[in-house]
Amino acid sequence: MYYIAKRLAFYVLAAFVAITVNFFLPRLTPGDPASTIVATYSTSLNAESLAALKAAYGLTDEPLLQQYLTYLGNVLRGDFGRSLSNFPAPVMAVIGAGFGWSILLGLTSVLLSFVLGSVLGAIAAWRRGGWFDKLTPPVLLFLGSFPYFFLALLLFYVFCFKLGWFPMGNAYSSVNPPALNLAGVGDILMHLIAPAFTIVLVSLGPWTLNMRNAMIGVLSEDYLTLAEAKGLQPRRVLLSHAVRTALLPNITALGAAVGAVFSGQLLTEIVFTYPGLGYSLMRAVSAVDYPLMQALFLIITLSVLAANFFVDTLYVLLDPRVRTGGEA
Amino acid sequence: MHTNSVPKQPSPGLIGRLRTSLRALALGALASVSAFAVTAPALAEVPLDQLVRIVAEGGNSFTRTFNPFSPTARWVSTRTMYEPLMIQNYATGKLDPWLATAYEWSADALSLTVTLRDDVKWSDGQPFSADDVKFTFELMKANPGLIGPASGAFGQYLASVEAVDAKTVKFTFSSTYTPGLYSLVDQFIVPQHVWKDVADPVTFENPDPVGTGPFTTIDAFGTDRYQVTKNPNYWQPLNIEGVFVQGFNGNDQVSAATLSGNLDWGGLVPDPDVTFVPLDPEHFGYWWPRTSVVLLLANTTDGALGDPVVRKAMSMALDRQRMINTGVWGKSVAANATGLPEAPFKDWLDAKVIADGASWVSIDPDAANKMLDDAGYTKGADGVRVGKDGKPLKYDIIVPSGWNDWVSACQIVAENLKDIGIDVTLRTTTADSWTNSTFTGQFQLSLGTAQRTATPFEFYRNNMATTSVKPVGEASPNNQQRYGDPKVDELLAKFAASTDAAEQKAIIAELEGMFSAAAPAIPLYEQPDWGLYNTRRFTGFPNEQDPYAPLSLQMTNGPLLVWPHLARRAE
Repeated sequence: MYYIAKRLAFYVLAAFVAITVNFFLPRLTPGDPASTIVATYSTSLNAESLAALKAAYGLTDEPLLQQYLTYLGNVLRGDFGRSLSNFPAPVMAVIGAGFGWSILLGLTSVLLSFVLGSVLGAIAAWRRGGWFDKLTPPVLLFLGSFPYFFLALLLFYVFCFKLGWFPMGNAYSSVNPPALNLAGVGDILMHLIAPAFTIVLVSLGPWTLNMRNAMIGVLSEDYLTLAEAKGLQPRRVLLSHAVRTALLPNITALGAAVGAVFSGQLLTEIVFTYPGLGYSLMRAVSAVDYPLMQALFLIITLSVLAANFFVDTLYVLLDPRVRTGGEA
Repeated sequence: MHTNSVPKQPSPGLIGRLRTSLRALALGALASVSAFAVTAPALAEVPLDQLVRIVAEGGNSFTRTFNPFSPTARWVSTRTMYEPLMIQNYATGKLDPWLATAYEWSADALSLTVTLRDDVKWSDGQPFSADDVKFTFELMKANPGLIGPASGAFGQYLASVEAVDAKTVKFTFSSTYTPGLYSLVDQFIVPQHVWKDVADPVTFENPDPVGTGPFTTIDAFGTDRYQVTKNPNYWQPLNIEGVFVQGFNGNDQVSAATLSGNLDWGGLVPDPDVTFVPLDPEHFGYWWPRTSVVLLLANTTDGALGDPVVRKAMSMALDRQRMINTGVWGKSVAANATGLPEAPFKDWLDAKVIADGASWVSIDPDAANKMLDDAGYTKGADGVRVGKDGKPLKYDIIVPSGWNDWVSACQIVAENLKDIGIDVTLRTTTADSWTNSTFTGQFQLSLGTAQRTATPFEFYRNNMATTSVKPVGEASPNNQQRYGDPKVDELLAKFAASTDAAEQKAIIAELEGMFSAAAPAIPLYEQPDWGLYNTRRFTGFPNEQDPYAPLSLQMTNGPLLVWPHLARRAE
């Protein structure tokens, strides 16, 4: 319990730093949101309208520190303001639309690559030196070293545009969100396959390799020889003794990998027109939409912290050394 | 061609920044389930095959914002929901009657009386009247953050708006300003009975709009798509059920949808004669009317760039046809010496100014070199000319990366100007930083377009009047080159005080001559307005044979003219 409380305190501090960086980072990029919006959407405004627009959008010339304090107060109240590039929609409404889809795509693809990679790695190590072990790592590494964007476009072109096996975009067919019955879920899955498959394909390599290497290390441990010697079924030796220990590095990687996948997921969402947060983030950055950028960065960082905290907690269950107060 | 090419897709810097500054997410399944707060599908959606499918908005997290006073509200707000009194039609050069049928100036040009159309109703059945017009303008006066064509009218020339009777509106001016007509009648009108109860119209999202336009019913709304169907009370006959707007994340996705025939009305595909039309010549078409001019802007506050001789010599070094061929696939013509596009302003153009000025907007590097030699800009040891202040003529030309037609034009500018001893370096930037630099006058060379207007008045005001010059550092979309001539102010004031077409025409001719003499901006070529159509399902789009309206989806006053002409093709 002490371990978890200690970790929790660390995450609260990290969250505060993240909130602060979120405020200052967007403001380091040069640019002026009102001018950008005016230039993009209207050519009929004069300098006076520009000033009025700035005032309406709440873009002030107050000292940065004062703006920061106002922002802190607003964040604590859960008020992220209005998106400048979707004015006057509140930031939370813009995010709310894409949040669920990003989570769905992200979780599906990370968990799939984690499970699939760990299984493939375990098999390769168990039968090391066999044809499966010789073939799998190089093929996966080759796929993983492809430029992400290029692979996604290639898959989009072949499977969605040319062959038409999968839809050319969106998260579901109807305009309104579908009902969560069998047909609706099937439709959502159909739209999920192509983008999720792309991510899994690219990220599978490291999972497999890490698992394989960890397994080989574990397999040479004395206690495994003992397990075999006392006549345990090979399956039991593999699952309860080898895999459980060898999985620990991959579990650690899980928390971090979520982050790496998201930056790739942005491109996947763009290529497959998947309605996640990736495109919103890109637009927010290019339109200098401070409020939207802040909220998106914050959600992303908080999610990473949450994922890491989850992994820390999981360790308590998986690794007895942590439970008894030793260092993992 | 230079090879310092542009990334095809949004800047790699962005991705890099994300990689380094972001970590991402994994919340529990709980979060994902709750995020799918599923609403039961709305009653009966109009089937997609009855809707005109268009691509007009980027993005995929649409919110129900239909506030017509926000430039970033949903696309339909100002294209299908709210309507203006009259519509300036850039394809025909005419002012088409819309919610108003006629206007009349008083003899002293200080009041404008507008007659409204009979039998117009709001989509909720309430009658549309002069009170709504008066209300809209007063709402804008009370809330300067409401953006529309008539923004700022009250501060500049408008004194009051009066509802004389239910069908007559009288605008009273504080000073004579006849070009104000076009801003006033172009303003989108909102219903008083709905908006009078809105606490803050600037931040009002207007999720359930009540308008006079053809499509006001939000039939279905998803995160990246929505469909808007008929206003049951629309004042003119319609042959289509509504529009389907889909958000796309990138140009490749738009092209894929366009080429596979999944769109009925779209914007740009590169080189359509090769990539698009041959796929289905019977149904696929495009029309790119030219209603604006691409200008090379030289910051006149920057040393030698303030000298008209230098600007004209630069103009004469440029290969405009090559820009047209590489940037817009040959679909344009070189601009003339007045800076005005031909089609929308054909009644205003002075043939003599165009003929006399032809030499400085045509390629002739030898003459350009001679002009610079004669003016005393001698070449230094490195072949680059030196200005009278001793500084070499070395400049940066800035352009947003990814604006491919402009990037290639800028490459040609840089290449051509070397021939006359001016050293130009192409710098691509983000659209945002480009806007910032050009608006504040902190640039040397850049491209710009003239805004589309009803008369050439605004073009000359925004490019030559001292009233449009802001100090360097202060942002303004107009007169980025910061050139001002008090004589122009006088002529513009005379124009603004006149209601006599012949007199106005004479004034504009004089301004055209002054533009050609001083070259405050260097006209390059006429800018096409992208628009393409697919008539497999719907017919009646404007095109070269039937140019009744522009085909651009981006203009606020184009699509409204088109909707009544469209019809569903019989199966």
